[in-house]
Amino acid sequence: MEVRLKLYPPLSDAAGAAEISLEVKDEAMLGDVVEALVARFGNGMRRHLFDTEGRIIPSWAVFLNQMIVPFNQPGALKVPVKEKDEISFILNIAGG
Amino acid sequence: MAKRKGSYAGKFLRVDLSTGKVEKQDLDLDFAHKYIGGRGFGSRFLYDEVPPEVAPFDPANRLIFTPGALFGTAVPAASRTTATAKSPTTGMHGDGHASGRWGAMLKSAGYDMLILQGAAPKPVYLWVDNEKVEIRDAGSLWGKTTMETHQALQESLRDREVGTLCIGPAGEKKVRLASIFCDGITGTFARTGLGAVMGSKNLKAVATRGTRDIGIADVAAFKKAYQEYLQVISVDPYVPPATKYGTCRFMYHRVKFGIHGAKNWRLGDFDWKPLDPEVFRSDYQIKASSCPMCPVRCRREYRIPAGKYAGTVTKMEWETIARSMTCGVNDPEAAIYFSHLCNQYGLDIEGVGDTIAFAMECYEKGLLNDQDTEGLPLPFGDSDVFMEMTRKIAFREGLGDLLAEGSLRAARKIGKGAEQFAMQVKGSEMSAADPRGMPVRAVSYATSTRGSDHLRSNPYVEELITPEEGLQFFGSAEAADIFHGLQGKGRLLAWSENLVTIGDLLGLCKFAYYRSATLTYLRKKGVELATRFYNACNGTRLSEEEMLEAGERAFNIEKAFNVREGAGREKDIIPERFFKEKLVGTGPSGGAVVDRQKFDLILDEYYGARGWNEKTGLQKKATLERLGLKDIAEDLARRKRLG
Repeated sequence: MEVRLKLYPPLSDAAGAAEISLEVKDEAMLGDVVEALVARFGNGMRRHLFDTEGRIIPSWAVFLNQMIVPFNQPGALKVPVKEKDEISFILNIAGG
Repeated sequence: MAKRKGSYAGKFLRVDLSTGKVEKQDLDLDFAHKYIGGRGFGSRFLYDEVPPEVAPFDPANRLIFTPGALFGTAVPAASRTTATAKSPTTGMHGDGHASGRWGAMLKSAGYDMLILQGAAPKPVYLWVDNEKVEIRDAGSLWGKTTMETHQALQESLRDREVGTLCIGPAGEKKVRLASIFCDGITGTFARTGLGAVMGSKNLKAVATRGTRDIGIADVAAFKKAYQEYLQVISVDPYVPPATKYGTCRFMYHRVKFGIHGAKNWRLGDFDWKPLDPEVFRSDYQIKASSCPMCPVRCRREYRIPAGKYAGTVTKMEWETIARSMTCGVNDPEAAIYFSHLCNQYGLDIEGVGDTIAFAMECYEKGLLNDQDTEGLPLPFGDSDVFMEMTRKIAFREGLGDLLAEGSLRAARKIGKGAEQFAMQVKGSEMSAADPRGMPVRAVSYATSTRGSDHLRSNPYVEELITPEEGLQFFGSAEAADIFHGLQGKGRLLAWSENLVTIGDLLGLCKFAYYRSATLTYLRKKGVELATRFYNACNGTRLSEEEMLEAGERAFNIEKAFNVREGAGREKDIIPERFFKEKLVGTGPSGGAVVDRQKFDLILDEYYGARGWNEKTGLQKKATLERLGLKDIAEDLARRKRLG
């Protein structure tokens, strides 16, 4: 099935676009979307999503159809997604 | 001149502007290693020399400049100097922090601290040329803008490398929202009204030239730390957006959480598209640069190519955009021009933006009328009004004279309940984003020792830790839950305040060291590498715990200063609006208020973590003694201000 992704920097730079469509397996979860994203765009994408120990960066917040799913919360990667869902990735950290 | 090992210059310079007396004092290395530098030196001297009976504009108030301990070395992004004084905005501890070469020049001239006291009988500037220190007439500089002053000094001194500090017209007129500018508009000691303190001393500028080198004690250890710092920077996803957009990048965070605080902190949503960071990058950016040795490169210069502000060139940071939205303005050219005006007049962008927004709401509510405004309507969203009020504040014209006092003082003069629209903490206007929906952020604004401030701590730590890290470091997995967590938040806040204070002791940039995408990277940069850089430069063996304790010590001195001025728990509070009025918006924070019970519980835990009295917010004797501040404990005990 296909989901729609809105990417903010630095992911948008790694993908070369701010909005993309991504093919994932049926009954996919957010973790599968992350995997598909890395599979499509390679290490340029992986280095922004995982730390040097291979753990998902906890400060990524994902908005699934405008509902926030913070990646620092347990079970975030197991949230199910559906066909045509809109998923936004934004780095959670402000600072100014 | 031979290189000295160690990042300290070795002397303090004191100038009495009333008498013209110049004193130089040797730096005691025990003192240096205890208070480190920057905010540590400034806060200690301010506490010792400015008691409660000295008012902010009293000549006896001090204005103290202290470059961070690592400023002048090759440590990346070690480019910050602290300015400290009793604040005319808050009446409490006041400080600001700026980048720019001036601090390095002061150290190269041989001084780790410049203490200014007294007031000159007429406008003067201070010329520090290595050993030579002169008070010179500034009659020809008075009235000039910041950039004009900087350029005039460099021309008259016939040296383009001279570092300068100066005030603009706002500081001369003792506008309580005035700032001090470094090397033209390179850096700004923005907050707490320090430009007005400088103006009250009739001091237009300080020009400095230094030619000595700052050495490094252990070059091999320094190189190793440097390489590891670059490694962390290269993998931290926090960095690329900063490098691409500068601080404008923070817009995206506000958009997704719906925490703009537009129209005087009422709206979470706002038509932000015209202010998209991509717009600034593609249409207006002419230069991307960095502070000395910084690999992040987040500084930006913009130029307006056409229209009524055509030809304007200035630097601009995110808070300018945020404060434009506070005034309901979403015109990118107006935001750039607002930055230009504040930079040239010498104003604090956050204070001025919020104060104008306050006036706009007063006008909307009928608390200010056309007679008060001399016929100038004050609607939200009108960029012309926004600019005109900025100018009027700088020159204290008409309503600007009232607003030049800051929103709280202006509200008290207006009366009729206007105080509820003054969005401030301890008298200093709000900064950063709306805290509704994020209670630890709300408490962080309240506990800041210089009034509302997102840079006094790192309230964003809750957004980047895992529950496991929350449990390990702050005693509860709940610390990682942004919206619903409670336990561990107070401990997280206290730790993050100590953490970022390290940066102000060493002169390290917050964005290069004290913001990150993971706790591992944050601790690595902000504690481990910061400590290793300090030890490598000075041949010391400070532990990471001792460095964090140095941060805690400086924070406690500032707190003690405020306590001595009469502040207790009642001052650690945010505006009532955040408790009572729902944030208007459709984002995750839409409809939220700050839950007062949660706020109080986090504050209780915070005081407990700090070793302060939970009921009064006052410091305990044992806490101050643990930090080596027995004399301050005794002073507070004499004044019956211990917790």
